[in-house]
Amino acid sequence: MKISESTYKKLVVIPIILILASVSMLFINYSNTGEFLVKGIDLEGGTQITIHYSNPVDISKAESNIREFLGVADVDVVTTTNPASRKQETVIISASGDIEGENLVEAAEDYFGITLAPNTYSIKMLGSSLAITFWSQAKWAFTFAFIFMASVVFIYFRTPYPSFTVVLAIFCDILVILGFMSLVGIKLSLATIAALLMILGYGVDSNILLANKILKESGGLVIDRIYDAMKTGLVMSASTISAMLVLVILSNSIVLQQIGLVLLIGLIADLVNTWILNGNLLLWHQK
Amino acid sequence: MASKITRILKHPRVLTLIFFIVLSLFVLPTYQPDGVEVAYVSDNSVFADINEGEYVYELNGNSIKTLDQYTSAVSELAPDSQVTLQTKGGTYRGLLMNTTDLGITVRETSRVNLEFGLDLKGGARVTLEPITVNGTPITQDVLSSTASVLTARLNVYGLKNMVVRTIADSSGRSFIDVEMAGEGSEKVVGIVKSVGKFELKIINESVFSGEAIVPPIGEPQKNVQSGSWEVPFTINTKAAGQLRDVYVGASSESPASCTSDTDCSEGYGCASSTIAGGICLPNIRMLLDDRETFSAPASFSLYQTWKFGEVTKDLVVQTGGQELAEEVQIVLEAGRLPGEIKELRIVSQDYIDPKLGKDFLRGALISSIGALLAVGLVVFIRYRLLKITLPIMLIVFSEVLIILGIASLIKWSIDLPAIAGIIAAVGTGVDQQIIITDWALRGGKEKLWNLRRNIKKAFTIIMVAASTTIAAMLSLAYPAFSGLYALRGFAIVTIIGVLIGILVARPAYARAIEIILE
Repeated sequence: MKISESTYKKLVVIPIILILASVSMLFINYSNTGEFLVKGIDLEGGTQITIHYSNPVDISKAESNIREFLGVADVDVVTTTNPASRKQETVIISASGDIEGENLVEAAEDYFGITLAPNTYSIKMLGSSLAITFWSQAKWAFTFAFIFMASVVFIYFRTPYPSFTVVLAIFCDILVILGFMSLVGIKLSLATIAALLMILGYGVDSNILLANKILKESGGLVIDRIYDAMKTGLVMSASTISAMLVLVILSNSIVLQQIGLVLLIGLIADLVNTWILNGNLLLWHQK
Repeated sequence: MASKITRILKHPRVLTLIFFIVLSLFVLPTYQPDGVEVAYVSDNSVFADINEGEYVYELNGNSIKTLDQYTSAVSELAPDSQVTLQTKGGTYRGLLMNTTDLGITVRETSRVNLEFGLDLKGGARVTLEPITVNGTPITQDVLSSTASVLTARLNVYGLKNMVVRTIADSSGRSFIDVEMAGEGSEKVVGIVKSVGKFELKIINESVFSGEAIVPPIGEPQKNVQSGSWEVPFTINTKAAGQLRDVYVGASSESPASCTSDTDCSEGYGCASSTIAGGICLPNIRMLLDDRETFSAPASFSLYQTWKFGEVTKDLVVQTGGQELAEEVQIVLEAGRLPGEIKELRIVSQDYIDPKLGKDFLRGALISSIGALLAVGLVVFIRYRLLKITLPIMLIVFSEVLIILGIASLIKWSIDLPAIAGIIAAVGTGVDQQIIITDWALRGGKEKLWNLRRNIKKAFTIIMVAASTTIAAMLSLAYPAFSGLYALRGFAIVTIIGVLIGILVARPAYARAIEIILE
């Protein structure tokens, strides 16, 4: 794969479009809901029950019925499959707001026409007051993690420009992930925050690889050095992406699935942001 | 080839890796035969002195090999019968009263010596927000004493292995989090919900509740003269007056004489005195959440004082033994939250069905193995050389093994986020090995010196990447973010994994690839 330097420069529109699309997605969400991202029950408060149920479920019908039963605005129904038999294993019903667990159980019993004996289902209830605490702590923890990451990058390069472009590329990774989450309706949760933290690590990996090759090695054209580093970078991403793909397909836990999906998107975004955006920014600076 | 393998295996860095692998293989198995073991013993159990984790051989002569056999043996139990339980620790005998509940639960023995988190083995978690009387933020002292009252309460119910922790956020709000994994946990929510309902009753008439008790509660002491154990405590003036009035009202004008409690009618006990012999007096009963801990009549001298119209705020509970005295102390304390607390509001509760946890564990295992194989496939497609793919995969599997081994050693429990952490750490590990391999391959055609220099360069990149990951994860471990405990397992496991990677696995891989490519 050889692309001429001029074509490589033109490719920079891809990350720019991606980032603009993500930012507009976030703003569209903001104008619709008043928030950039919809938060899941562990960051906003709500009640969730997980029941063993193997019959097919019409998700949107279940959602609207339960919503009506409870009289709340937001009800989410998700099913999980057994990774070995590929059969539906459980149904997870989440409702936002401070409603009692018993009410949600009643709503589920009513819709599915079953009786749920105590201790045969899982229940999770989080009051909105505690959720506010979690959310504020999660925001700060992520901010600190980002600052720590940026500091390590600055300490390594000791020059402002490459440090800045690396941090910028990773920041764009985060933007694209958030934009994608808001597009497909993945809610922000503790699990997705864990995935965002992982992207900080993966993003640094590929960006340092690139910047190191351009700045700390000599000989040959800068563009050739970019391609050389890219060969390694693409294999790295391919291996992690394939692992995440398997995780998304095979896992029966929403936590692992969400982490896998967010990382998958993050890694794809990182490919573009590292090898096209940051590559161009560094190439431009070397001239 | 064979000589190369010998050289690799003899290299100190590789030996270090092998040491960690062997260590993990050594600590991970439980060395338990298949069967059932005691998972949980309630304090009220007829087998209260049995230890958790003891392997069960027989119940009433029925040999136990599976959980089903245990369940059917238990179903044959009859009330008011003798039960014999044979375990690895010995033979236990107990007499069932009017129940068939042994007060213990068992589980299938586990082959792996790992603690699993709430989400993988099932359990309950409740988070409470203490609300103060005047609405002001709670102080650290009050928060921790509230937490210990709560712990004492759960202990009274025979619940053990709970984790009680306090969470404070930057805006000054505080929470108490109670977590209990596995068996018996379904009770936690109910107990915590009915906070500290202490009642003092005379026969069946309620006299005062926990608010009337003035802290601190005295320590149990042995009375040298009488040989009994005593717990002193103080009540407020209003309660003291009520206690006197109700007690005198409940006792008859001329109490019947007695020599023991059995001589008195129900609800009365025998209070002995040196002057008048024993007389039957109403029992004073202490209840925590409607469970009676203590019941005895007032002492003769106290009864006399009351009869003369005197009111006393300082009371002493006399018990026969130290154990009961300690329990009385706990009940008095547990029934009484610090005065600053108006209520404990439940802000979050979780109950995870143990069966669901098992499903998750199986799913996580299948998908992790699948993910590792996918990585192996990509690496093989790229290099098309088994001599590179095999070492990479061997290192990947050994890293997973070592992370689990360390988790087992430090008794860190594995939950779903921790599994994500293992995948993250191993994922960065593979990435780093790809960097080392590519850098090494470029130098391979030239001199050995070049190869070494290139690998060193690769290490610089790896170190930066690893330190960023660790730095990012450390933010989760920062105490101000104690509310994010759900992600702590993820952060810790990722840090352990990355450290094992850069300190043990990567150096070993680098030396191995160096020798392979020479």
